[in-house]
Amino acid sequence: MSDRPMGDPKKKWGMAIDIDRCVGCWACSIACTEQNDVPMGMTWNRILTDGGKHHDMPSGTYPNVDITYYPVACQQCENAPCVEVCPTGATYKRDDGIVAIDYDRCIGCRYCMAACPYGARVFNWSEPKRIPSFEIGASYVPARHKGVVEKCTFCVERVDMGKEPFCVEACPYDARIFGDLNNPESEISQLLRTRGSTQLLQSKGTKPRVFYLTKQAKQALGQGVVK
Amino acid sequence: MSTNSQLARGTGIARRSALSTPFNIILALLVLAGLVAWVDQLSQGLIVSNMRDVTSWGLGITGFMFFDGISAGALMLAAGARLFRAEHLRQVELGALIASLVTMVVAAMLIITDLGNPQRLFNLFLYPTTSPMTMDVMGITLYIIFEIIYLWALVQHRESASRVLAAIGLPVAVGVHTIGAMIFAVLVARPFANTALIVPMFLLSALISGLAVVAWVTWWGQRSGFVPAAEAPFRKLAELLALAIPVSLLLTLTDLLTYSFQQATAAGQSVIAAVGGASGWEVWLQIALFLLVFIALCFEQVRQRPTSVLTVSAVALVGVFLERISIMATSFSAPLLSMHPGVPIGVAQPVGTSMFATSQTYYPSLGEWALFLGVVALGVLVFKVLGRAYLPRDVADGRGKSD
Repeated sequence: MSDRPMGDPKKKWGMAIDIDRCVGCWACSIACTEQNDVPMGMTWNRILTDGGKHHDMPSGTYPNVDITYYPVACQQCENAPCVEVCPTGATYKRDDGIVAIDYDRCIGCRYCMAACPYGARVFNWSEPKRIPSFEIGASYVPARHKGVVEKCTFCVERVDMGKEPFCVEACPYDARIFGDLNNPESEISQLLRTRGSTQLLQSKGTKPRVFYLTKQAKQALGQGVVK
Repeated sequence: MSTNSQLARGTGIARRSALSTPFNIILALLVLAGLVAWVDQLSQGLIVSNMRDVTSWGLGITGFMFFDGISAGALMLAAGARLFRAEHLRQVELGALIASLVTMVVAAMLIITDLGNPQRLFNLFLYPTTSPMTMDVMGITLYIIFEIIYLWALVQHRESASRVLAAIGLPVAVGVHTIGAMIFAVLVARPFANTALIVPMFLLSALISGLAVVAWVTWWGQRSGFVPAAEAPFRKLAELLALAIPVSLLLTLTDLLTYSFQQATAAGQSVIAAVGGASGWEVWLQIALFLLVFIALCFEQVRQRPTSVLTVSAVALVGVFLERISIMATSFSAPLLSMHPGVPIGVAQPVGTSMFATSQTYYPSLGEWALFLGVVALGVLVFKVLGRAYLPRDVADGRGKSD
């Protein structure tokens, strides 16, 4: 494990998502798929609708309707259940808090998938299929083959280069803020202080590093938001 | 060589029924089908199964828990019989131990054939972690070695060694299956399994399925001339079954009742959706079958007759299998984050079909069944070979002297 990049131990990477700004356009999901060469049928990031009975449906009855979008990817939990259950240490927590995967060590037992409460992990059930038929995305993102699990890595290769995750750059509404939670002056720390936030499935004790900034535009009716 | 084996060779051939050869041919064909399915899975990947990202564990892990439980239960019976000097059960001690060894190897094979990268199997030993799965792998490896030693001691009639090994064997059986249960107990994402009750539930299922298999092993032993009919302990096995089944039912119903009061939580909603949905029938059928078995076993006539004991044992075995399925297919069918559009299915879908799902109703594919039945058939064949090799022909000599 000594050859695994563990990141800067002084940093504590986190992401805040402003659900006032998120319009459910899925640009972040598509950008992530492109950047990380995510195969057909799989996605590392998905936009959940907190509202009515279907995707993109609001709750309530017109004119009193409300809708909120929750982009969900790996929550990079402090108490990551996936890291606790991985039998080979293929999934591990870096010093900067990012939960990473060593694709060469993964035996494909899928215990981490059983353990993740957020459904953030996807499995290569076959050799990856892509349209177009060649690999896309950044050349520094490691390739995955059949039989291994993958998930959002906070674009760890980009972070190690001093850049932000690609979804943060791609969002047309600047709804994603990435930064160092250990730095009280970082944009994310300030926003969390001023706006307040919620997290998904807080009662499960996973302590996610992804925060959903409190909705200010309209009171969310709370259907489907689970604590 | 023990005197028993010499005696066995001297008393002529063991009885074989007329059905034995066709049955062995069927088993061999199943093994072949399993091999073909395994090669197909290795080349194409696990996409040949019906598992997807929603229900990512299926028949393989279900089978693993099922046979792990049978093995633990059979070892509990074998070791318990020797330790507590239960003379009724001593006849089946060796048969139960052989069954225990074979079923644990079957369980291990079912896990290995479920891996996405089985060629990296030894990573489990090279890079151990504190994961319950690592501990289970280590535990099962030691368990198999232990059972080989125990088997050797029994076959060699080492009475005091056997007694020591039985004393170790009982906690080993309970311990290894408990670790197996812990694999599921720690899953906060799967509330149906995420309960302290799962450990006693699993142990009882191990006992029930172990009892059922030992009953059938005894039947086979009788038909093949290893166990005299008058000494077959069907009644004792039935009595133990009659005690274990209602306790297991109590635990399952307690679990369900507790969740029924938690409709306000995500966990409660997930369990209610799972148990009340399209993948919930496994739970209800299991409860119904267990109730049926319990009611049947209340009747003296049922406990006395070997045929009825074998029948209720088979029904109980199906019930335990359904319970194992419910930990997997039912439990996984309703993801905790229930917002739409759900969880990625994980495999490219036809144009116009969503790549997400909020639930999955899992049924094993043909390839999964072929692989599962192939491994099980191999286990049955290996059991028959070991049984014929080691079970004493003349049981009067084979009963063993007491210490």
